[in-house]
Amino acid sequence: MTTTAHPAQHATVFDDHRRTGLINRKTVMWVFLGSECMFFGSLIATYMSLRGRSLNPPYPGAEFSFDIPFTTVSATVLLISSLAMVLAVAAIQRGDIRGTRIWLLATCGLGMLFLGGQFYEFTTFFVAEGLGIDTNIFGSSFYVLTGFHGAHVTVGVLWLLSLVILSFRGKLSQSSSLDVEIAGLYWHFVDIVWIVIFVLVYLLAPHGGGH
Amino acid sequence: MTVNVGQLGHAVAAKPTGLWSWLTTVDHKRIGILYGVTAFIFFLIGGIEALLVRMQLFVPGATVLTPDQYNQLFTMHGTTMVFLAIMPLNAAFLNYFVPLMIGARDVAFPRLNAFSYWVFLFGGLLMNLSFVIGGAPDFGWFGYAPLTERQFSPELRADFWAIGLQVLGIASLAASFNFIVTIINMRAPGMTLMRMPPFVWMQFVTQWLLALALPPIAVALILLIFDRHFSTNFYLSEWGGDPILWQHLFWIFGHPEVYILILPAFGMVSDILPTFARKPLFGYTFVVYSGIAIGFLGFIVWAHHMFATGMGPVADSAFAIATMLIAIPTGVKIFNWIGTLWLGQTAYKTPALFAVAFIAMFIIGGLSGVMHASPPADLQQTDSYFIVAHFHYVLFGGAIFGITAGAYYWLPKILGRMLNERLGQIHFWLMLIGFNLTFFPMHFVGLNGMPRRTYTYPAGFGWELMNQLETIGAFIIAISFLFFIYNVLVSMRSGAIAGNNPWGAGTLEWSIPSPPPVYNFATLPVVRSLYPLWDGPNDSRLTTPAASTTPEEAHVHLPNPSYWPLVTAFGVTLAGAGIIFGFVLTGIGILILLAGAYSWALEPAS
Amino acid sequence: MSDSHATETRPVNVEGWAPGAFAEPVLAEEQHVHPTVWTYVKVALVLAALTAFEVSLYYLEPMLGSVVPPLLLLLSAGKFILVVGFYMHLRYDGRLMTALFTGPLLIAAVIILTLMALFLQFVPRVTMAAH
Repeated sequence: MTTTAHPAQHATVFDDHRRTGLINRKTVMWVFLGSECMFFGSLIATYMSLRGRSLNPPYPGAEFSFDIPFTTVSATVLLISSLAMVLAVAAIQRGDIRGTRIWLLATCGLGMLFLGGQFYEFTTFFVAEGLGIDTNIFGSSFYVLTGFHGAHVTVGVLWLLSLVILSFRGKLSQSSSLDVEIAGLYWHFVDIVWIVIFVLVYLLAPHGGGH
Repeated sequence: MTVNVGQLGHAVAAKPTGLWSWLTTVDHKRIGILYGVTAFIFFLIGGIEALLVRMQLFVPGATVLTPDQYNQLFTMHGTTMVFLAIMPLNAAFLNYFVPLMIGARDVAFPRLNAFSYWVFLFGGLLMNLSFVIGGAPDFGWFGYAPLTERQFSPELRADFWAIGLQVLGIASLAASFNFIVTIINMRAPGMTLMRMPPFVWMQFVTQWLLALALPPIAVALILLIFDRHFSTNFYLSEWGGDPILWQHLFWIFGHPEVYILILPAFGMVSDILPTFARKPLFGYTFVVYSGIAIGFLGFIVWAHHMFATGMGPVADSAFAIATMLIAIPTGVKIFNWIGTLWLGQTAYKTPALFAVAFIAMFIIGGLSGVMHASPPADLQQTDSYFIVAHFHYVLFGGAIFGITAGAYYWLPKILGRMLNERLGQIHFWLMLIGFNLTFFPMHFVGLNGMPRRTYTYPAGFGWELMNQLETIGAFIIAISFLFFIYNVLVSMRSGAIAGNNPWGAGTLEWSIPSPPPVYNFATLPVVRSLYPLWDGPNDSRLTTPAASTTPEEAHVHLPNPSYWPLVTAFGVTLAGAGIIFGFVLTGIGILILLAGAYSWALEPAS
Repeated sequence: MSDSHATETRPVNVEGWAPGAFAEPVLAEEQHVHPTVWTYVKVALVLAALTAFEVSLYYLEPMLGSVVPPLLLLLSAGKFILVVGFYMHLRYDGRLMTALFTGPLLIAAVIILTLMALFLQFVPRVTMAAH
């Protein structure tokens, strides 16, 4: 915004960069993510506060254990999707629409793989261990915490797919790299939430038998 | 998702009239008016609910209401006043005046702003729909579990309450994101952070509190909805859950919420007093930093609402100390206001009267607040009328007195005409007397053991006289607001023309015509001090051409009106309502939401 | 906050003021530096290594004992910072962006820890069934 003014250049209310050099849409995404910290913070606080308070089985560590090798793979899938996402952003900033499309699709694919893994995990717990959302307080807090994370991943996949569709309709260009960057911020946030959940829920779960 | 984009052209933007222009408006000033009118109607509804409660308590053993009606009315009185009256009244001033005060032409995201209003309106309607469908919520405004669980509330009441609050929360969250970015990025040249009017600063802190305090209650409500609809056991101790968890999550939201209600009033008074005292705010930086301190401390004091749950001496002490700490920045502000009035040539017009009364009433509420910061004292006072007295001195004596001061101060800018001073003074004295008559005796009956939320009380406890005074006081408050309504209705047609700056104030909103043109500032002002109109009246950039200038003549390109925020807001509310009425509606609501959101995203913004 | 850095030689726009003349230097420090693809890949490799370390700690817990939980938290914090810093560009964006995010993050962390303490999660539970 350091261009020389031209009489025909109208001032608009969307005059970004005016005060702080920050872009409105990017700023609002960060404020939103700050708010999301409190959302997942409250869910995690609920899960952690109710830990070990189930009055009836099954509870991990006693009746069954988390399948750590399996969850490690799905956590890694989500981590790699973040790499794909950042490569999509790098591609659109270069003006490489084809590369953007490929990396966005890769991100979506990895995201869906993660969701598939979550679906598999949930059904295994439900069928093999008899753990429903209403079975005990562990089931309630586990399904709600990981389920809301899964819902966030789903929204992210839909968002990225919308960008892919836009790119096929020729509406995504180097000048709209911000659209991809902001979707990326959301996607990475969903990833870091899982980094925390992976440790707090899975790796720090009581475990003794089973291995 | 194909929609015709941009069918609303500049022709509409240039000459906005009629219902359609209000439904599609993205002008922050119009949205502010919508917020103000809607919130004032909800304020009257909440007031009528309070009058009915007071009628029931006029004499011992009264049967004006059934116990069930009584429970519904006190619950909805609290819920309405907090979420549908004070918060949106603050939002009205936020919308209308913050962009004007920072020298901006609109907010950062005009359509998101419209979305916030529509979600708020639909959420409020949904909540109040419960009165005609099976009864309103009846478990108190903080909805303690397990009263809200299926076992004790098998009807739809708790669902209306939980979904209504959830929807209202979305409105406030969207608005908070919008205004945080607006205040950070949209300030006029020279409007540094430390030149922002105190009202803008306090609203900035408030918007942060909203952005960070609403997610915890969103989670609390989600858990409640899961308990009620999917048989989880979060708040059911017989299954390993814990009703205390609800209290924690609610008050992690609820305590910042107290500051969400009061901080904007702090800001209004900090702007009004200097104008009438004819001198700058005493210790501006202290007002700003103490506001920020209150914002941070507000997040670590929540459990002082829960001393009666028995958290143990360590937790009790920690929360008691934190609570007493928060009295320090609040006390600092009171000294700032008194210092502003000190030796000032104060002109006691109606706004100044309300602002000064605000200081006095808020001190009383603040002092009783420090009293129950001490756990042993709190155990005596909790759930008694003493608490009711305390928070009405803070929220009525504080927030409502502040907002009323703001209304008398800024309505001339909105209406273009002055309000009648004589009617304003009658309003003030009636309200001051009625308010104290209603709420001061509550201290006494509270300490004499009268529990809050009691349907009735037996004769002979010495509570009769006090309760009768309280009811009479409540009706005096109601009459005082009739004077206000009459004043506004008459003055908006025949009041004296206000002109740009009727009070001789120093902040930017008074540099432009009243009512402001649609584009606010024909040329953006350049700000060089905290009170640009006092310090630079000869600066030509601080005066604007006549209001007849069109946006095109002023070379200002305005955002297009849009109906997609309205559609999207309807989708959000319908999706929520589906949880009450059946999940088919949720599906339809989500489809409308998606259609609205995609069309919104693809529609050119300007 | 002074405007002393404003210069009169800048071109002015229709508003009659120089764009950028009033920018706040403290806040306007967004550097348009973009890390290379190779940086992103390196970060991914480190993330994978840290994850492998985390999982091996899980299996070594019977041997290492109570040192494992703090180590795990530390490792996940490291992964968190890497993603936020590099993939989300906070390392390259202004300090204000970082503040917008870390402030809420700290409040959330305080609330999690306080709630856990209030729900006695840090008190050894003697009555719980041995596992």
